[in-house]
Amino acid sequence: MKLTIENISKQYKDKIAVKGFSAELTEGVYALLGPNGAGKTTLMRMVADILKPTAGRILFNDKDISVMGDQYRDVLGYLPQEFGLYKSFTATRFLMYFASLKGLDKKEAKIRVQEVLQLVNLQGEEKRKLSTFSGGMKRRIGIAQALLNDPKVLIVDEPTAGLDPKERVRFRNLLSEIAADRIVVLSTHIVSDIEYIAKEVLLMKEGELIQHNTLESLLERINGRVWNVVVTKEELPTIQREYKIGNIQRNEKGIEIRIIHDTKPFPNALQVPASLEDVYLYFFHEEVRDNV
Amino acid sequence: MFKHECYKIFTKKSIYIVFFLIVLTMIYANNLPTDMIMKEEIYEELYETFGGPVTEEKGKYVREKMRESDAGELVDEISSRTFEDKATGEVHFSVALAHMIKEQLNERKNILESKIENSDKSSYEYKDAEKELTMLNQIDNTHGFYLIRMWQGMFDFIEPATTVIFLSVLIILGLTPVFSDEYTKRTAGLILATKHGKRKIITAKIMAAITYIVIVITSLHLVNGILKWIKHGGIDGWNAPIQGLSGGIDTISMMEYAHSPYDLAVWELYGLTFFLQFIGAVVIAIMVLFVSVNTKNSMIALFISGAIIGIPFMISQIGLDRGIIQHLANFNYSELIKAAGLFEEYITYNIFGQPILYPTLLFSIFGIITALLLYFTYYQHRNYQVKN
Repeated sequence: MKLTIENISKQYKDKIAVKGFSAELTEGVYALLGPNGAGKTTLMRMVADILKPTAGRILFNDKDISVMGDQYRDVLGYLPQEFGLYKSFTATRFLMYFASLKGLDKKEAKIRVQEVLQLVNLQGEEKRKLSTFSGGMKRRIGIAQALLNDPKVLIVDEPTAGLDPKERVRFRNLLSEIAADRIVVLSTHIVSDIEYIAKEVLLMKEGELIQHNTLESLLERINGRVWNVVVTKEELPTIQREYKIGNIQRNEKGIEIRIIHDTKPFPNALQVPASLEDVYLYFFHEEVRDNV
Repeated sequence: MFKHECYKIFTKKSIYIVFFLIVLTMIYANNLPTDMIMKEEIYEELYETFGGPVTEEKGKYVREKMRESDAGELVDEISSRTFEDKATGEVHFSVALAHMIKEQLNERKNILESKIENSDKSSYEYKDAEKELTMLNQIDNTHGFYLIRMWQGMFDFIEPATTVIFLSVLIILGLTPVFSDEYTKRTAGLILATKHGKRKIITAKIMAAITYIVIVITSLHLVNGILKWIKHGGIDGWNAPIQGLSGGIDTISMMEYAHSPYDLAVWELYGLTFFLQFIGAVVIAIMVLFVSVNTKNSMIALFISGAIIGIPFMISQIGLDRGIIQHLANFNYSELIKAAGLFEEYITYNIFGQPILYPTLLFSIFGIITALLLYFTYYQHRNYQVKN
């Protein structure tokens, strides 16, 4: 099974949202990382067949998805970053409705609805109206609908936003379990979500794919560039301006900071193993600083 | 999928509130006084003597009686007239009117015959006159006095202007959110990424809209029918010719079929106009769905749909329908709902030299428009791009 993204671009009137993006995806979890406005959501919409690319094409098993149409969407599961629900629907009615949209027959749908409700830990809430659901529960019902048709290609945009830590771990494990025989594309801001499950990481910046590698390769790339150092309160503002700073932690010795830099920044700096968060910081330092 | 689409429409509280208000208005209107209600036994007795198609004999007799009554009537005697006297006078008037219309019909036939004789066979005038004459020959013996009880009032929900408003409000309220809500409430992204989210869902939504129309129209007609049955106490006159239906008698409707060239019984006209009103409502529903799929906002869709139905309707109601605007007043969505009015008189249009009856042309034009709107509704939803 193969999903090929072939040089796709999306241009709005005066803005290029995605520019010449190419990647070949096979079974496993692909993490799409990038700051706000990097083009992740636009890219995912194009892969989900709800937005046409301005240029390029997407192939599923070497067939153009725009030609495949219904056939492609039959194997697709999609959870957008933001989505609405029908307030008057109960959880079961909502899922039965999406089961019919996905072409499941009634008997099959009834069984599958119970299964996905269990997968997202919403069993017992079947009869509740969606208007009474909390933000986290709404996200979980969204995940449930994406899984209804047992998709071969699962596109999930910020799936863990609004979930409590317990549910986030649960969802991570679920993705990890199901990814063995399907292609999962996941975008997130929370790097810990993908640290243990991503087969490959795709880094996007200003609409372009700037890195496509395994997590190990990315970590390898910045290994030897991550430092821990204790500084004073007075030194901190200058250091923040000049270096890519990660975690900042106060302790009895002063302020312990994590710096990503090619060379040893201070004589007392200690080299530490890199994490995915450091990778993110290394590539998107400006965007992180702007957001702070 | 269809069942869930129906559920979306039928769980809107606003449609129930409007429906309830409409029923209250119908009950109120049903209790308004009308010129005469032919419920009492005296009318049955009078029907024995004067009922059925008018004859020369009946015509002469009632005219004589009316002349006698007019000549002998004094102001203080009017108040002393019994109900039976009044009923007899009303029936005499109806028979005399039918007799007069029959004479007018014969005059019209003479004019048409001479027109046919003096026209070129291939001319439009010839074809039009021939068509009208053929229709008039078929209703040669229909004018007269008929005891038509609740049937007259059954058309109260097919012809009056209030019906256009009632049905339009219910259609617009129920159906403008069908597509636009999916876009504004951000469910479109989820739907469009599913197997049937680009094609079959549109069919399901249209079927749900038609189901809504069927339920709305049938229930309103049922309420109207029950009210009329209670008021008039019988279904007599179901097989009378439609020329026996006239405004003011037994109804608040001013619909007048005395000059209608259509050879139909009352029940046939009711069935036909009920069906056409349903088709008209479906045609409007398709227009509303088309607006809904294009505007992506329920409130804007509501105003646009309202304007499309309302503006030509208002033009014809306030009498601005002259010249070219008259065509707009004759060929618009509201005329489709007022189906009963289509059969009141002989109206044809010259289409490539052929006289085409107004109801046929009206429904043909909107048939073509609806087919186009359906195509573009499918096209528009299928190609909707989720951008934000």
